[in-house]
Amino acid sequence: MEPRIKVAQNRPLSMAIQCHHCTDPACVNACLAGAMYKDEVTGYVVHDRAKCTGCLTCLATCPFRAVVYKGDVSSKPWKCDFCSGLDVPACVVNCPNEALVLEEVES
Amino acid sequence: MVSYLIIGGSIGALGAVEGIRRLDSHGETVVVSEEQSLYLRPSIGKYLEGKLDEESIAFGSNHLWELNKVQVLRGTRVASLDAERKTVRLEDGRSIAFDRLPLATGSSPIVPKIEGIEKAGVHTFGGLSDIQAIRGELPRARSAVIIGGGLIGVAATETLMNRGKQVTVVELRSWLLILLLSQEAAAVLERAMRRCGIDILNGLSMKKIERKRDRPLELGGVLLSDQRRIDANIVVAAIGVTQRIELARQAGLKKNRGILVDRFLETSIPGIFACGDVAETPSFFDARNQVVALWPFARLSGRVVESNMAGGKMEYSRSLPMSAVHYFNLPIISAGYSVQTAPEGSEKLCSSSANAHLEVLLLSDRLIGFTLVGDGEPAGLFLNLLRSRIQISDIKDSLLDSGFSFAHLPESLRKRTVMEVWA
Repeated sequence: MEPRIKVAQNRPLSMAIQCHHCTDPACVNACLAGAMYKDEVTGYVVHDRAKCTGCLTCLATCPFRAVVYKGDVSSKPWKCDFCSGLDVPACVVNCPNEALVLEEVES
Repeated sequence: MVSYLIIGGSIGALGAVEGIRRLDSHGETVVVSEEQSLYLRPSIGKYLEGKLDEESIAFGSNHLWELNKVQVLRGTRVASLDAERKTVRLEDGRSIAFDRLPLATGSSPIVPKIEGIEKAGVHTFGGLSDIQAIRGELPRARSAVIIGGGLIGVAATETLMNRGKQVTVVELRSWLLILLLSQEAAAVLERAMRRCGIDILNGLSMKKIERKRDRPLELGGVLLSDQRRIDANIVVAAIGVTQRIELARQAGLKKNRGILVDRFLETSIPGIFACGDVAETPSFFDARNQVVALWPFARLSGRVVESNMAGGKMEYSRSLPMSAVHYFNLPIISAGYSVQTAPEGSEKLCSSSANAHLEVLLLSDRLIGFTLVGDGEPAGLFLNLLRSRIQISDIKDSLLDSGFSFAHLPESLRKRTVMEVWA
């Protein structure tokens, strides 16, 4: 298991980078293995690790550098899954500066 | 008459079906595929390794294949296409009249002309039938020779190594993945492969394929251009692919290497489109058309085609070669120009270590290409910069720093990226 969030720093700028669960995700469109998909109900971009072949095309197409790859034993990348199963994502709950908030906005 | 007749059953056709769904079209759609099952071609190697089962490599529900009133004719070949009468004749004798038609016939592996190749035992590595044939020979095979050190050749090498075979790669040119990588970048891959026990023979070709004397149905070895003989019970030919333009040629469509299309992916005959590997699309960089036989573009181009067939005017984002693979535990990601193809006057930035080699190419301070071996993490940001065509003189010195992040992109591009992905 790897952290699914990164902090992008270019002082004085500092920002949390996690999956944006894009409307038309580049990683889903490009996935060679049909492992990355957008859940039609939740709108989350989900990574099916069983189908994943670890080609890293998702990492190559994410414009945020939000897909994480650490060269771990599985050779497969990780991404934010919106903490499925939790009411509020762990990054929001644990941010000491309350800089991360969960808010529903009208689209 | 059907509204949409899609020739081909792989990712280009899938993109086309997705395009239909977006427009919520009610038109009847038929897909003609010569394959019996519709599967994810890039996953066949992992399937042969036993890491993925048949269900995992099928176009599943994620892919909307069975939705949208799409009728799939499996195991069916098209005999001829009449562009004037808008009719297709199938090999089984049936005819289908259509309103609009995308050709998504893809590409097929080239089989080299080598003495002895016509007999059984030499395989390509393009489809499920190849994989099934190779699987049948695995139990009695000890060694394998791969002809061709491109993307497919390296994939086949890793797969057969993982099935316990002694593998030799024979590549005519000076280094592996020569169309994508510089010599320095390829050296990182070749070192990793040799560490795994792979023999790499560059600058050589195969002259003859030999049978066993006592069992003439079985492969014994191959003879190379320098008269060297190598044991091989399995031979895989991976010297490239050719675009499947037979139908287009016969229907009188303009073609070059692939079927020539405009920026809306329409061919020279109105109502007939082409997408995926078989299409020769306008390039990202200049006015020329280019075949980009790569998976992500096939899906997107299919989508554009279907939108335009349904009356839309969606412009294809232009073909930009991009590929990501992960072999011998090395991410290998490249996009745009490579060192070999870069225009005069371009600037190369480089960073190298024992197990990684990163290259970025710039022209007039705009990113025009990159090649990453061993560390693929910044690829998405580089692709974002490449597509944006913006000048990056103020950040180019930090591009290859390990901490290069979204926060380093110019503010205008950061904003545009966020707006685009939530549009």
